[in-house]
Amino acid sequence: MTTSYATHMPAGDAAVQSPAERARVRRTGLWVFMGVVTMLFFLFSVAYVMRMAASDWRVLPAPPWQLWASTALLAGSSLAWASAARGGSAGASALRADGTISLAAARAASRATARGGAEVQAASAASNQAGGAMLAVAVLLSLAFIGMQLWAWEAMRAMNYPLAANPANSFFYMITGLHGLHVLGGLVAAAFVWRARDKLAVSLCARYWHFLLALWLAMFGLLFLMTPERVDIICNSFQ
Amino acid sequence: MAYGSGHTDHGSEHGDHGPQSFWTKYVWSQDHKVIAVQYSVTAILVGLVALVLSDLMRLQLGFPGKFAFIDATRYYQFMTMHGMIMVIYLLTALFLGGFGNYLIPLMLGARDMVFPFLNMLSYWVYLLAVVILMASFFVPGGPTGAGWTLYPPQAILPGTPGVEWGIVVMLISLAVFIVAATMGGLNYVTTVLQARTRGMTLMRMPLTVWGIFVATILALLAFPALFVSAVMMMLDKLLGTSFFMPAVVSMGQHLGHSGGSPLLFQHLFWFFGHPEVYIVALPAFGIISDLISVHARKCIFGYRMMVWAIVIIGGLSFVVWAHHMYVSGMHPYFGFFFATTTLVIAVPTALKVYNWTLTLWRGDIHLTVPMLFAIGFISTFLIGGLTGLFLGNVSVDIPLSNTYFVVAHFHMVMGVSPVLAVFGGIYHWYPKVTGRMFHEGLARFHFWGSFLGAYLIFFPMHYLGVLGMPRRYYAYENYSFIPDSAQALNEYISVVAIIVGVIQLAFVINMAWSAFYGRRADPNPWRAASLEWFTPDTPPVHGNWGHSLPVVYRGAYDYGKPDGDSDYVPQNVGPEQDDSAAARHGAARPSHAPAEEVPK
Repeated sequence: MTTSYATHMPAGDAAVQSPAERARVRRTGLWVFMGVVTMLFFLFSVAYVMRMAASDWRVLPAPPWQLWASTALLAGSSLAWASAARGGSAGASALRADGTISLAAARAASRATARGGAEVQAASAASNQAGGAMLAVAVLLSLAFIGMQLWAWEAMRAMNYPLAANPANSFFYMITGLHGLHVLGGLVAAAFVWRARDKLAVSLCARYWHFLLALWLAMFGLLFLMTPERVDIICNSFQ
Repeated sequence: MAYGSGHTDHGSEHGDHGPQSFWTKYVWSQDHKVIAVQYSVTAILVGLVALVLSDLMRLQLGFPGKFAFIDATRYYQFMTMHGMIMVIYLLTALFLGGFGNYLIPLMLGARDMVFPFLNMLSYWVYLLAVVILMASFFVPGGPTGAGWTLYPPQAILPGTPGVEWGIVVMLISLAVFIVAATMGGLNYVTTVLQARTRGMTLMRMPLTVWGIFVATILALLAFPALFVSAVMMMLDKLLGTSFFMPAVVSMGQHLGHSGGSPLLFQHLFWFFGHPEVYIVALPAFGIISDLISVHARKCIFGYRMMVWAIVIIGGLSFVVWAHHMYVSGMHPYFGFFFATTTLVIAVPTALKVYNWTLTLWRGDIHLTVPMLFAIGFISTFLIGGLTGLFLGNVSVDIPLSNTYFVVAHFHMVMGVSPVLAVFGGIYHWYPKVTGRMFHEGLARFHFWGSFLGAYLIFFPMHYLGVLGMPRRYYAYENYSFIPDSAQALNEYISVVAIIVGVIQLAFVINMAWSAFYGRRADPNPWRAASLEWFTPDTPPVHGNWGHSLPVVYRGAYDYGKPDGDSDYVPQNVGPEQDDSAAARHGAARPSHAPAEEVPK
């Protein structure tokens, strides 16, 4: 994903290569991707609510404590990403907190580096280190989230809510599983970011993790708060 | 192929001009043009498999029992694989992965897709999906015979062919395909939004790009529904959940499922399935618009209207899905709603047909091969669209549902028509892709064979449908309501189908032979105005545009303005440039239009 076209091209074509352009392209790509994932989980939610109408539906119990813990872990990870993105931008980088890049600043910075501006490099290295530490925290918290979700599966099974016994259980395992896969996919992207230390990429990761958190909260709410009675109330309120 | 024939002079000009070794250039390529060719060749090859499968089905229908190896099991497997391959692995992949990949960057004046690595990945994941799908021919029990709609509960119950492995392999392949389509789709949408060259406003994009762009958005939003249903059915099959499976007594045994809703699957499937029709149709609309405008030497009639029609059709395509389910016992009001939306969608669609016709009206029509296919498309699409009005009405649909009328309808509207658009598009852009011309005579033979053949095959099926002949049956003996003449008609259809199938070899041979031995093509043989014809090299090399990107000053349809021996103005020629001679041969020189004035 990070292989840019720019590496193949002769210099002198600002239209493709400018960092501002690259930032815009990647941001747009991420938004489109988050749109697709939103659609995917929206459709799972629709299926969940529609399947609820059958008489064999048994509402899920109160969530096991592991799920609250995993919510906290994912929120922590999301915060850590945000902090990594901000920490990384404190130095010479031209990356603003909202992820946009000032082209002029970037040019000035690169000129300074080229001249051997030692203090600029040092500041950059320091902020990189801080950013790197937060990045590690974010990744570790995400891995812990995955582990906690697996533990929650185990807890649900122990509470006698196995996968195939009831459609509500099946949805629980399926939706949490697919959400977990999306976290894992983010971690694969994060591995690339780890190697490249690309500040733009860190800020995009942060945005994706905020999205994963929002998605998890929505799914958590759907699975444990949505009951056939509430669906009836919502549906009937339109009549 | 003549790929990169003009490469050497540019390569020496700036040393690091793209990958050089055979493997990085043609196999693990990140160049959108190579990926487009990879996508197209793969899709066409797998499409040929589906073509053979359809002829095998026709053998059984025309000459029941004569070919012993086509038993009922195989028949259903052939039918399922034929439908699935044609709709998804051929048409979707070819329009988005093939045409989309090749044309979006070139038509928008970009150097490549914005995420080249992801683009490469998209092709290889697509190939993986195809390989998995083809593997289902070799697993125990063979491929699934559940029909391309894969309706539960029958799709995963004993008695349906391929229930052991085939269905699982199919679902996995679909999921993998969706991953590939999503990776490609992210690229196409982002490229259209962010990588247009200077002056290329959205409302100056060629309609081909508009069609592919909106179709890609539909794909990104609709394929998740197929993914959801595939995952849930896989869990039902493998882990015994009951998302779709009701309580079933199968072969005298109670199965573990209970309470599941087959109807839920139908809703999810068609929430994907109907937009899928437009995922295939919208790029075809776009390509046909461009072909007609270029070869009739006239500005497309009502460009803005055409764009909005594409967008509105795209939007409406998400609220018509249940017209595939009129016989599922739905509430009459529900049916009324979907019949209404279905008929409403006919309005922008008809508008497009009118605009194509009005573009042809008093145009300087050149009956080139691409134009023949374009006009053929209008004809078949009109016929298929009109029968859609019949089927869109609940009360007419109920007696016709599950008859050959439906088979005739959807083959005309989303089988034959998009395939004609594919052929027209391939012939049109072939000189740009390969740098060589195809064999004209062979191509005309291919057109007349396919076009007339399609009518000879599918038109009689309308009559069979009105007669009440049910679709999906393996054999039609001993049904009192089917007269003997129906069998005679079936025999005739089968003979024509096999002939038309063989005629497709003319296309394959023409493409393969001409790529190496065809006459060298002009950079712009059709005198088209859109940007892709003004690359400094033909075929375009890595990076497409040489030193500087083209600048766009006008829409893609400035035809019919006689000026000396030229009757068109290319998109990258500014209003102040009077040297139309240079513009006409714009392809010969790098297009460095002056940058002072870029009208937006």
